Order: sequence, then structure tokens, then C-alpha cells
Amino acid sequence: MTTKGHEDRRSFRAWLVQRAPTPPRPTDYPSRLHAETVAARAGLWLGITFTICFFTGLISHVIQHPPDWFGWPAGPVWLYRLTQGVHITTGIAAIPLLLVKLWTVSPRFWQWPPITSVANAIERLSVFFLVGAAFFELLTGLFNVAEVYLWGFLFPPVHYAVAWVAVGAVAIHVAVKLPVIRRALGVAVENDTDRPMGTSGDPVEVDPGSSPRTFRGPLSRRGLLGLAAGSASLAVLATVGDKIPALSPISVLAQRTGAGPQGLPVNRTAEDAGVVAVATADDYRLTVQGPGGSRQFSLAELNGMTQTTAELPIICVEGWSQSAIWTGVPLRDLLALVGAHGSGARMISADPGLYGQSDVPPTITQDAVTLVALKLGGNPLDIDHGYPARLIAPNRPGVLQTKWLTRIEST
Amino acid sequence: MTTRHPRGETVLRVAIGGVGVLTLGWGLWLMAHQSLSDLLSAGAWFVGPAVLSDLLLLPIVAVIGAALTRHLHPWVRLPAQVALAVIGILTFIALPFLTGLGKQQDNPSLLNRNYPLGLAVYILLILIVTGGWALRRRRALRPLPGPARHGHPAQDVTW
Repeated sequence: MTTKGHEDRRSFRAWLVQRAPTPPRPTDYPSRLHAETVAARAGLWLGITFTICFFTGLISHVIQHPPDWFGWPAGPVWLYRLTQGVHITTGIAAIPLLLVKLWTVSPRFWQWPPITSVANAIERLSVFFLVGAAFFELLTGLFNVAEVYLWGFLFPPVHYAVAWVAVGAVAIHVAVKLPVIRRALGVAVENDTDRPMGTSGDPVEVDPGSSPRTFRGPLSRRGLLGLAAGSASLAVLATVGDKIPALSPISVLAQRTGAGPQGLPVNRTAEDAGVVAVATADDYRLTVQGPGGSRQFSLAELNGMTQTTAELPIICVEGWSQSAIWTGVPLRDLLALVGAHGSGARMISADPGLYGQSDVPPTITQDAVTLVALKLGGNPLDIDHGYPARLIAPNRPGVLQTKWLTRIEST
Repeated sequence: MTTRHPRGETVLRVAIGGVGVLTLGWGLWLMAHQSLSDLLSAGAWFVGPAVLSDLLLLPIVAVIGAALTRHLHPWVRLPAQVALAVIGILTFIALPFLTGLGKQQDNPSLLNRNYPLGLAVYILLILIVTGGWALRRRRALRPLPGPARHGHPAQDVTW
């Protein structure tokens, strides 16, 4: 509030109090853009991206932490590449959609009084969970792709837990708003559904809880929705190149160019894993254990066995994926040598870290192209790609493609 | 569709809301299994952006937008607003990459693009496209001899 005359200014303090800014009210947002027709459409798009992002994320979670009832097929080999690429891409696309949606409904944050009824309190609480969880998921996901960890928690379990909070809050929000959503989606975006359209400049009696929506700025409602969709598309284009190599040149914000040793990117280096000495030791042996006992193989012995060559992608949970030609011994052949027929396997790396082990279910161990790979593109593996031997299996997150193998146990 | 009737809609709303409450509760239950320090760190990322978006981000965007475009001529105002919004959103997404904090000394295949340059090229392209659009609007808005051009979309920009 401002005062023009200073004659009623009794003291500096009173003057300050008078000049103190007051929080805005919904009626202070006059733009026609703060309309439920816009919010419902942006919300619908956001709901679709969140739903796809949630289910593709859920797939990735259960592949890595499979419950007893869950079986993930060995093919098609591109399936996980698709689901995880879609997971990251819908998450990126949801960022502009969320910002535009929040812009549209922002006057409601300043509702006065802050709580008007029990139902209103519950609704506001659910919106707090919705906005909190939505920002949490999109920001931690984005920062994880950029490998910027500005938090103390382990990303996967917390990102997973909050995903449930996010979709739960979305469902509650849809339940609360369903009549408004149906009403708003049922009319043209430029219409106002809850009252006749105010003509520009005329004062209109408004509900103190909502924006008057009489101000017609240059941007139309359709234009705002176009802006949301356009920025989402641009954000996807700018980041998708590490999943679709053909788009790499224009994806200036992609996590990787696709370059790396032997033409393939690396997620965890041998130095980082602390395995250089073990992996390059002259007396390297791969131990394979099964019901028929335990056997040890030198690299030369592994190279002397029947080799299989296959083109399979590395698919990182962080989104990037790239195909390569791998050559090695089928895992099922090695398991058969120790009497394990049709069993699963535990792959154990020289890497003592969090991702130094992985379990391979029987559906994958028995696949003809599940390899203990020794070569990449016809040459021995680079140490950062898992020299001397690594697992390469179809349709599987890269984090489970265990590198620097020292031991395989049938399970 | 039964939901056309208020009673059917109520049933649908209760069903969706019930699933939502269970789902949200499951998420909170999973969170309850994290350590206290993890919870505090996650809590900051949960509450912080939600509150700061309303208290900081949106007001700053509004002020910047108003300061930069309020006094512009109508022909350039809409393209300028669109350009600023798209550049702002793209920069927001680029921020974690621009910090370079995720780079690893021993892994040159990670974050191996020139992110500032890439973003600058995108910004330049956005400015070229919206600039061209502004010039077209300028031509369209120039008063023409003859009857007034009622109903022309460009008339919308006056206020």
C-alpha cells in the first residue's frame, strides 16, 4: 500500500507499517490466463506424462528389485531401452508443463483466509503433497541425469518412494477436482465456465478466491498452452540425443555425445570402482560355481570356448542407451559346465561397490545372447567396459550388466 | 456413461480418491523406512521447491516479465514474452548441466558436451525465430489505408 500525502505520517514507524507490502490476493491476478480451462488442459497433459513416467519407472524398479511374481522377458531386446528412454523423456517434458500449470493456478496459493473449511484444508494439504512430490521427482530426476547430487540420501529408493506419493496426490487431486475438470474440458479454452465472460475493462464481481480473469494480455490462453507444449517439445529435443543417437547433434543438453572408449560411453570407470589391479592381474581367473562344483577359467581359456557375437544395447537407468557388437561365451554354456541347467545366476564383480553384484533370472540366463562378453567391436574389452569379462544380457538395465566379473554362482 | 449422473460421479470420485489415499500412504510408508538424516535431506527437497515456487520463482518471473516487456510496443510484446518464457524454461532445465558439478575426472564420456555453447545456440535460434515473428507482426499491425481491420488477431494485442 502506498500513500501519496505524507501529512498523516505521525512517525517513521507508522509510515513504515503503512508502506509494508501485503501478501497478494487472488483478485490481484487479473490475467485471463488464470483460468480453469487452461489449468484443466495443462493438468491433463501433466497427468498423462506423470502416469507414463510412473509406470515406466515402476518397470525399471521391479527389474532391479524383482518380487517373486515378477518375470522380465529377455526380449524384445529394445524393450527396456524404450521404457527407460520414455521414463526420462516424459520426466523432462513434465517440467515445462508443471511450471505452466503452477503459473496458471498460482493465484490460488494466496487464497484468504488460508483455510475456509475442512474440505478446503484437505484439498490444500493434498495440493501441497502434489506440488512437493512433483517438484521432488522432476528435480531429483533431472539432477540425477546431470549426476549432480545436492542431497544426502541415496537417490533410487527415495525417488521411488516419492513417486508413489506423487501419483497418489495426483489421484486425490483428480478426485477432488473431477467436476471442475469435466466442466472445463467440456468447453472451448477461451470460455469461462463458472461465469459469463467479462468484457475487457468492465469491472466484474468476482469470487475473492479466484482471479477476475478480465485482463487480456498479448498471450491468449491457447497461446499459453501452445507455449507449454512447445517448450516441453524443445526440452525433449534438447535432451533426447543420448537415447536416440541420430538426434545427438541437436541435443545440446544430453548427458553424453555417445563417444567413449571403443565408441561406447562409460558409466563407472575401473579407476572409480578401484578394480584396475585385480582386472589386469596375470593370474586373473573367473570362478564359476554350480551344483556340479566349482571351476576356474583363465581369460585364454574363456577365449578358447565357443564364442557368440550379438548386437545389444547398453541401457543406463539415467536414460542414455547405445548399441554395440559384443562377443563372448554364452552364460548358459558356462553354467552347464558346473551342472547348472536352467538356473539363475549371481554375477559378482571385482568392484566391491553398491552395484558390484547382480542377479540374473533363469529367463535371461537361458537366452542365447546372454553373454559373458570378452570383446567389444571385435577387440578385447576396454578396462572401463569391464575387462577382462563382463555380463551383457538383452533387455536389461546397464547397472545390472556387471563388469569386471570374478565369480558366477548359480542360484 | 454413468458418471454423467451426480451419484455415479460421486462413486467415481470416491474410488479415485481412495486409490490416491492408499497410494500416497504407501509412498509415505516407504519413506518412513529411510534414516532420519535421509528424511531431513529429502524433506528439504520436498518442501523447498514447492514453497519457493510460489514465494520466489513465480513472483520473480512475473517481475522480470513485466519489467522487460511492459513498455514494449504491441507488435514485439507477445514475441518477447514467448521468447523469454521458452529461454527461461530451457535455462532452468540446463542449470544442473551448466554447473559442471557432475563431471568426473576419470570419465571423459560423461557430460562431455559444451553445455554453455549449446544453450547459447538454442537461445540464439529462439531469438531469431521470435524476432522474425515480431517483424511479421509489425507489418501486420501497420495501419493500412481503407476500412479499419476489425477482428484481425493482431488487434488483440492492444490494451
